[in-house]
Amino acid sequence: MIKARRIGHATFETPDLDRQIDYYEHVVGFKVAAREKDRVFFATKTGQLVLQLERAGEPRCARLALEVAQTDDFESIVKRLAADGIKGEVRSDSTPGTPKMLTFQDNKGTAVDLFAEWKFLGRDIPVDGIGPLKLGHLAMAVPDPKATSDFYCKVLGFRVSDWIEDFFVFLRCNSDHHTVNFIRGNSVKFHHIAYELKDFSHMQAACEWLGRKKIDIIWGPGRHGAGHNIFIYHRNPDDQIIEFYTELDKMLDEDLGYFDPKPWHVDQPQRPKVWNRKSAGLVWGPPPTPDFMRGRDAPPSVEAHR
Amino acid sequence: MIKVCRIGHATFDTPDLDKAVDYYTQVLGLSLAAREKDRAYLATKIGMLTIELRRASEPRCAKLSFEVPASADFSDMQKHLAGHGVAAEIRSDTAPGQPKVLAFQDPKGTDIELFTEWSYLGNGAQVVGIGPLKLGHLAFAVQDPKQMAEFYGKVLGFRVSDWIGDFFVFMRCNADHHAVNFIAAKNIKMHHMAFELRDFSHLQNACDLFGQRKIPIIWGPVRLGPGHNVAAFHRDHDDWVIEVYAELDQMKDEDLGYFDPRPWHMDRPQRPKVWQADKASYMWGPPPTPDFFRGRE
Repeated sequence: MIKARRIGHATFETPDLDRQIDYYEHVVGFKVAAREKDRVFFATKTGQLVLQLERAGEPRCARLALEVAQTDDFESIVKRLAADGIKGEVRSDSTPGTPKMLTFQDNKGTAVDLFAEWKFLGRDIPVDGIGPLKLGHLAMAVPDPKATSDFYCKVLGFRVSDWIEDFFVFLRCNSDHHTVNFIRGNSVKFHHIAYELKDFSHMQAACEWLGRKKIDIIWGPGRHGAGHNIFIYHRNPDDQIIEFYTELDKMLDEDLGYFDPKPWHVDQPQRPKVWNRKSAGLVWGPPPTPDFMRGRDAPPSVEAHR
Repeated sequence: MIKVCRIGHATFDTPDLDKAVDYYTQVLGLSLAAREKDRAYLATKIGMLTIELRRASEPRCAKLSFEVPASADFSDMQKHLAGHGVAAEIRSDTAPGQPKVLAFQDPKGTDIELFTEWSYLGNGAQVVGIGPLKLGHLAFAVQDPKQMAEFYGKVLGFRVSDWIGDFFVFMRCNADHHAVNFIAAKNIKMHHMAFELRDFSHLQNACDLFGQRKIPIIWGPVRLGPGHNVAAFHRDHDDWVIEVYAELDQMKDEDLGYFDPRPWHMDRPQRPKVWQADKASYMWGPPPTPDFFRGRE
């Protein structure tokens, strides 16, 4: 089995590359690491590749990169994928700091790039804006979250951290409670992407910056049930939902099987479970605004309940 | 001229004294300084008297106390009040640690007590719950906020920090942006009471406590407009709206006349002004929930 270890970077297509660059540089606080005519790469202030934008007709989340261990050799991964009926292809496409990637499509049509070797793109990078520590997770709406969950578990070695009833699944590939999550929707569609902040003070600084930039917080600040992270959501210029979070649950030891105990946990200890929609959304905080729900075709969802 | 310098404590009537004591000692995080059959006094962990509770049939905010300079002479203040048509009397031992007060009523019928001498209560008492640093302000719904602002200004020496339109006034008696505020409504009623926390992390601890106790946050966390405080609101045992806040604007020097500059100010410098109603309420954060407005006109 392939074992994904870490989420690397996500790739988005955008009709207005300059507008998105302005947003990611001056609101989110990433640094342009490489720029081509129709493509741009961003690094976090820590120096890790975090985001790739490509010029295209419609906004879309196109690719997701996952790190595997250097001991995993690409040829045997290709064979293992083939055994699951998946065609993997090794490619070199001049992604900064990442010489080689193994690419295949997941069951919902997102390109997955596995990589083992990577370099920091700088150090102590000064950034404008909020300055998250890392890319945390990517959530997609899919018609069948169980099928996508099975795919990520069987093919990529993810583990289920929580379900909300039978419509929203959270999967981990390391100690973070979730790195990918899938909510039921009528079609395959980007749901939100989340970047980790240092702590609640950093969250306050993010709120101040969004306030200053007159960007509405469409949900939060609050603390979620599933994952127990402190969160705020807003929309970027392509109308995509961006989350900032901190204090996400950690599964520090898979064999112990419970999340590192915290005072805000509902269960003692907090283990992976099936939440009901009324308790999963919020431990505390405001209800989502209508702008958070806009454009959703998901089932009557957890967010509508307090 | 009377110069009020600090808000002291607030007195609440409550039909269920035990429930009220439980809220203040287990949720808000005050220490029980004294308890009688029909009365209780609560102090902050620092030891300052903050809340007096009295058993009564209906919940009501009945009284507010304010500190005046130690040099203030009680008979001079009595004369000053009489000059404004307000009858005041000197009373003794109305609260623990306060040997002498000057008592009168403000125009909306709230009992006011002015004091100079006070002592700390308790000795570094440990508290559970939120544990605020102090009582920050009391807001009242009144029929005529302009009339209240004039009384608190002319008679008690308060200054206007901000107006929202012509219906909500914020008044300070020291560096804090407001210690009392008055909003226009049909009936006189306490609007909300606010306690100061250390910082935004303390506010997070408070929110986590609300989550554990399943107490809904009815508004916030937000950064408000007038006063620029970060705040979260909930309802207490008697359904009163209680605010916990940090980072309230400070008028450090009355002669400079602007609030200590902060990155979140929209005006540079931020001076007392009249805010437009539609832009006033908050800088960032969620809108108030319907439960925040419940019981309001």
